[in-house]
Amino acid sequence: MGLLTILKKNKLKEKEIRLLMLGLDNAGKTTILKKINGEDISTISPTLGFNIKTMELDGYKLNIWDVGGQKSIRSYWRNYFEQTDGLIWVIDSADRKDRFELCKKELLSLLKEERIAGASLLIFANKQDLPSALSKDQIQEFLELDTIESCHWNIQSCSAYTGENLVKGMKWITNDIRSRIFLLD
Amino acid sequence: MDGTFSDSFKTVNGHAIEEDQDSLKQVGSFFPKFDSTIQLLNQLINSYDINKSLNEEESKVRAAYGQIREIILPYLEQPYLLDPYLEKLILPVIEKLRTDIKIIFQSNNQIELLKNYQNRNYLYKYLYLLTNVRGYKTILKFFSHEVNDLESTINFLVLNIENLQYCWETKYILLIWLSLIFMIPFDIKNVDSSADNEESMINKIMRIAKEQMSSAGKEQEGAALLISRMLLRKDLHQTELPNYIKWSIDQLNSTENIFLRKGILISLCNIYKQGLRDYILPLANDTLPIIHLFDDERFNTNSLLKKLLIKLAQRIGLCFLKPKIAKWRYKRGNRFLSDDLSVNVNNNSNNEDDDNEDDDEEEEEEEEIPECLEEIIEILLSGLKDKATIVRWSSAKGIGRLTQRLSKELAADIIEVVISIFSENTLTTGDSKESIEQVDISTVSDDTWHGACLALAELARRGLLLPNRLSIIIPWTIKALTFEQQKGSFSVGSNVRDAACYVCWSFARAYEPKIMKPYVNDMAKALVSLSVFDRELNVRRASSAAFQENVGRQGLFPHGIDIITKADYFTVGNRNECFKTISVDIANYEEYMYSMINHLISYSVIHWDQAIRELAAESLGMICKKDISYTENNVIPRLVTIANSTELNERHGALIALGEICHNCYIDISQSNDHWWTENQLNNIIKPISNILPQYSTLYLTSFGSEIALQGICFFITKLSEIKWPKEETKRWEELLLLSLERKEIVIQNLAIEGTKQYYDKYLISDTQLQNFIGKLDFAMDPIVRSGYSRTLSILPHNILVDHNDKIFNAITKICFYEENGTNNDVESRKYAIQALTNFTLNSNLTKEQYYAVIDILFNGMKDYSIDNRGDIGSIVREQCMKSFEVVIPFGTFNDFIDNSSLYIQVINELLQQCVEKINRIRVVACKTLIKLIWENNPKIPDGVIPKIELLENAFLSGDVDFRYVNTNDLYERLVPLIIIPEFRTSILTGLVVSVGGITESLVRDSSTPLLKFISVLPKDNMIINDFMDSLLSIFANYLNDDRVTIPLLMVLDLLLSSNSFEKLQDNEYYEKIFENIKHVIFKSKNVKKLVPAIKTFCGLLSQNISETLKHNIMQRLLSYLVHPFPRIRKLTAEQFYLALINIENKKVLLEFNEDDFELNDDDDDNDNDDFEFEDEDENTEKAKNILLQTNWNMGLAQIKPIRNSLYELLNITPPKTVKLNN
Ligand SMILES: Nc1nc2c(ncn2[C@@H]2O[C@H](COP(=O)(O)OP(=O)(O)O)[C@@H](O)[C@H]2O)c(=O)[nH]1
Ligand SMILES: [Mg+2]
Repeated sequence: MGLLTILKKNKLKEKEIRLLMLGLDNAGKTTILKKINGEDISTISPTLGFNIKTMELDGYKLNIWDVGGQKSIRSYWRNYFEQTDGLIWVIDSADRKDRFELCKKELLSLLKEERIAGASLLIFANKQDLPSALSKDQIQEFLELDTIESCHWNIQSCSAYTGENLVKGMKWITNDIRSRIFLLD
Repeated sequence: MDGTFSDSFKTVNGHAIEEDQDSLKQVGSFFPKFDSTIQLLNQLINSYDINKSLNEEESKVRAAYGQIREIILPYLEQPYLLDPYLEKLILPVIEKLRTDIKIIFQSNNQIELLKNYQNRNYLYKYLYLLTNVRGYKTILKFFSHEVNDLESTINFLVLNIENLQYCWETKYILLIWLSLIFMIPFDIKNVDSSADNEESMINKIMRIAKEQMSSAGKEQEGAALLISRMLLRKDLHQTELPNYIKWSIDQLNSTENIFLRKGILISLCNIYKQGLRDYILPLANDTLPIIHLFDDERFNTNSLLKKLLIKLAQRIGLCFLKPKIAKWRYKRGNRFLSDDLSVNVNNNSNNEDDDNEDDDEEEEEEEEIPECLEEIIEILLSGLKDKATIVRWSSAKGIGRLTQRLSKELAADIIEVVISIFSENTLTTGDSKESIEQVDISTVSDDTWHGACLALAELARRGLLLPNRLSIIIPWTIKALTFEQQKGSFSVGSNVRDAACYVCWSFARAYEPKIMKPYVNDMAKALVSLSVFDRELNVRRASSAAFQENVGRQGLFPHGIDIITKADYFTVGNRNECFKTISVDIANYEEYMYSMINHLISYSVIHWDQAIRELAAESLGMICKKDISYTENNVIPRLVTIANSTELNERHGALIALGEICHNCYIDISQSNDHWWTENQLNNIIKPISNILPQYSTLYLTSFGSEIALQGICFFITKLSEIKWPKEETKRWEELLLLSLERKEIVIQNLAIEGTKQYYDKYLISDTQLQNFIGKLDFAMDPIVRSGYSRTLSILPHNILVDHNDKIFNAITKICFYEENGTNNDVESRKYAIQALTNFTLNSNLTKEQYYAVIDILFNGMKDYSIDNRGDIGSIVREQCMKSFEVVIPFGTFNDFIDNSSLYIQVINELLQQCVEKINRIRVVACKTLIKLIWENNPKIPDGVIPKIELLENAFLSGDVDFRYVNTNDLYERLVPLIIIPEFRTSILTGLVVSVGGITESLVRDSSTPLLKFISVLPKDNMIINDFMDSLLSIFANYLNDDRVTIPLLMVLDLLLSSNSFEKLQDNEYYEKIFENIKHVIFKSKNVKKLVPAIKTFCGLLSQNISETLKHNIMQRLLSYLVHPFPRIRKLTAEQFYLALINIENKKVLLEFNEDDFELNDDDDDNDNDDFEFEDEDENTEKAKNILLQTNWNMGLAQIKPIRNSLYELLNITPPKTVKLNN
């Protein structure tokens, strides 16, 4: 009788969800996390960080992992005790053209990873408060999101500054995961 | 474990979840086979129609069910993936079952209907499968719950039970279904149609459920569930529940039926879990005594019963306490996300003010705590120390849940007890971190510590361990991280370490960084060491996860992110990498380096598992190099002490560690300086280390366990010699090396040879010693000794080999040969002698003449097919010779020794033969050697020497194959076509023959197919079938007296003849030659293995295009085998002969038919004669065939002989002179 069997059960019982926050650096991951956690967002330093925050939404415990701008997510995808249920990909909607290209490339290579099949993917088109921001439809088209078949996905425009649509996005991904992992009762 | 306790641990058929697999890979997020599942399900549903008594064959239904099972079972891993489909998977089934049940209920002939019901059971099996995969609670949600199903369902259940329909799945499903229906509020009186004189419905169902509760199967759980749900009904609990509890207590105290005890406990647990507090609280005091059965021997020998008692204790306890959550608990302050983010930005709950809150709450917390709670908690605490894991887990959970409802003071008491479990049975001197670190845990039980860790984790998870206790809890947890106790040849404690990691993980989630701050460093260090140095994979992974969680939540761990990436879930999977690379890399951080070194010395270097000790030594060597002065001052003195301990393993570990460390620290300086040590080092490092070996007693070096001691010693000497340890400090080294050299264990000998090589390289060998060594190379010596010294001699320093070239060369060559009639013809020692000779060759300024002597020895070795009870043991000599060719040939080329290129061809021939022989290992070595020799080595075989090199290239290099993994089929497909090359033909065929004519079916198939294919396309590229035959005949000639080749050769001939491979052969002289050869081979042989294929081949020859004389001679032979002493041979001959005669006839008919057809004129007069005799001959042959077929060849020879003799005339065969016809 190993620990793991019990932990797995605990996870279901306690309604825990594990989310990984990804995206190019400067996209606004840390700001989003702080914002939804109700922290002051004026003092963010763009360090290579790693932060796990837990918050509750509709009775579910979300463990959100912000792994900063790290190259490989391999080390974070799973560990002995748990594995990831969903991914949040954050985009700076007002970024330069070449950065969008890079973003597309990285997202594609992420989607190629076998392990993400079965996870839910939320894409945050962040920084919508900036006038130069592309709309979520433009981004959706540019990133060719419609070709994604390996997992459930959704794109949500938002702004970490104003807080607009952040919760909405979180709700979508929580619901999507819930409908997979916890029978909606 | 037993999987029948649905509520505790989900059964997963005892496997899967704990294994190392990316479960995502196995089960996608979808249910791709949904459609086919529904199809199969319909098949199940439609396999039976109660109205038409249609009933499909059960086997088909079973098969369909089996397929569904295959589809569903993989979802055990992630069962929730099924959820979106459950409705469609369940509803139709339930609908069908309900209808059936109703029809049966209304029928007058229920029993008859039930008899036909077999197929329906598969639907119940199916439903059970779903409950097993997804859990009954979820599945039950889709069942119908209608009151008017009640009676019919009960009726059907009773029917099933009374008529002994044994399908437990059916019973189980019906029971849980009923339990669902009973949850509906309805008035039982209205549903109960039983007459007054009949048993009431409730009594009936209680009776049945009680019966089922003592069954050993899953029905038991169903029944317990049903009972508890019934009894908890509003209209029943008052009257029935007290009775039931009373009954339960009586039964538990009296019954000998262990299953009933279990069933009752399950039902009670259910009752106390699901019952409304108002219903069950009044009964709690009455129920309570049950939990004391925990110490009753009828219970305490069974861990499942104990677990249930613990669970019951917990639930009764919870029932005594108001359901509320302790206000005083530590709250990390998770934020609640709400739609309007801006609203609670300000009241961010991260700013804790627990203390205030606590005071507020304390007042209203005042509550009567029943005294009996103490009993309960006591039992739970003792359950923590139980020897069964499930009991410990249950206890830990119970403690967590109860504590959550207690006041701060009471909770503190419990926590104190949990903490004190760690120090039980130890001589703890205090609560300080240092004294806990020092505690000797050899007297404690791993179970107890495991239980304590689980309880800590449970408490921490719930915020019940208040921060002020962390200062004592964390040191104990860290202590538990390294818990290990040796028990003989294994150890216990990995579960403790695993659980301790879980505690660390829970801490990371439970506390704010500011609270964890004081402990972070110690914890980080301990976790890092464990992640890379633990013996067990699961502990390394658990530790790496705990570290990761701490970095992510606490953010204070030094170099956290970097370490996470280096030692993650995947990388820590490879233990070698952990010790050799990852740890060395992480040790670059000073924060971790010293704790890692400490861990290695304290645990890994002295580990019970030799593999760990060796890895630890290597790791330690590399890490210590980073801080030599620390190593000299701290590490070496500690290791010297350990090396002088009395524990065998510790000594061994310390010795090899010292070897590695000194080597790593001083190798650089010793390269440039022969006298590299300072006075200080000499006194403080070198002397203490040098004193270790001289103190070892002879007993230690020769008795039990000495094989480990000597391995350590040889390694140690090797490493120190390499760094030119001061000569005066090498006392006993030579003696110890030679002692090891003569040991029979090859590991020791190998290490000793490495040792002597280094030793004599640095400290000269004396002439007498050399003479002594040479003297050991004699057939009179034990083969082990011979091997040891021949190998050692061959790797002495170059100048020694050159100076004593002749003496050593002669001594070694002498023992390379098989000694005719020798008593010491040990194959291994021959192999090692050849290996030694090879080393010598490369390193001793050999003369050309000597070189050719070596080559001769190698060719000679290639012919070594010695056999013993291990089989073809000569193969190890051949293997060695091939490896030797690989280096000796380029060496000869380089030194211009080879002046005739036929030598190359000869070597290639030898290798090609081995490439297609029987043993896979040998084939691999042969192929690799060949590739090296022809294409990779430097210098290569000169251009133009090898004929048709492009064909070889195609066979060996195309497709870039790795011959280690190539499948046999592919290998032979590649190599057989090389037969086309005349220079290599006979060698390849010689090798091929033993494969094709072997007895391993798959090998025969893989090798014969390409051979037959090859022959069938002849003639090709100047090769005709005659060439093939020439080659076969030359093999015959070469191996005429060697059964190893001739027997398979006969088998091959039989195969070729029976597959008509010689169709195109014109020249029938070949057949005569074959016949002559076979005659020779089987002359006077009594070997059935040989005779059988020989006789078959004879018969095969008969149907070839052979001369009349040959036909006559063969038949004459065959007739003599009809009176062979072995009945088996006689029968075989008769049978084969008979078939051959039929064959001949068929050919003749075919021939005539063709002749007529094409109106070919045959001028041959003989032909007319044949025609003339045809009638007559035909008749006689017919008779002969009958005799062959109908005679009982098992009869005595006296009876058989006359019969056989009659055949001479019938077949027109002259009897041999030895046969007298008229006896
Ligand atoms: N205008 C605007 N700036 C944002 C928004 N979110 C983040 N930023 C800024 O973008 C920069 C990078 O944010 P950060 O959270 O550190 O990005 P990360 O590297 O993805 O974690 C910071 O200067 C933020 O203030 C947003 O919604 N609107
Ligand atoms: Mg960031």
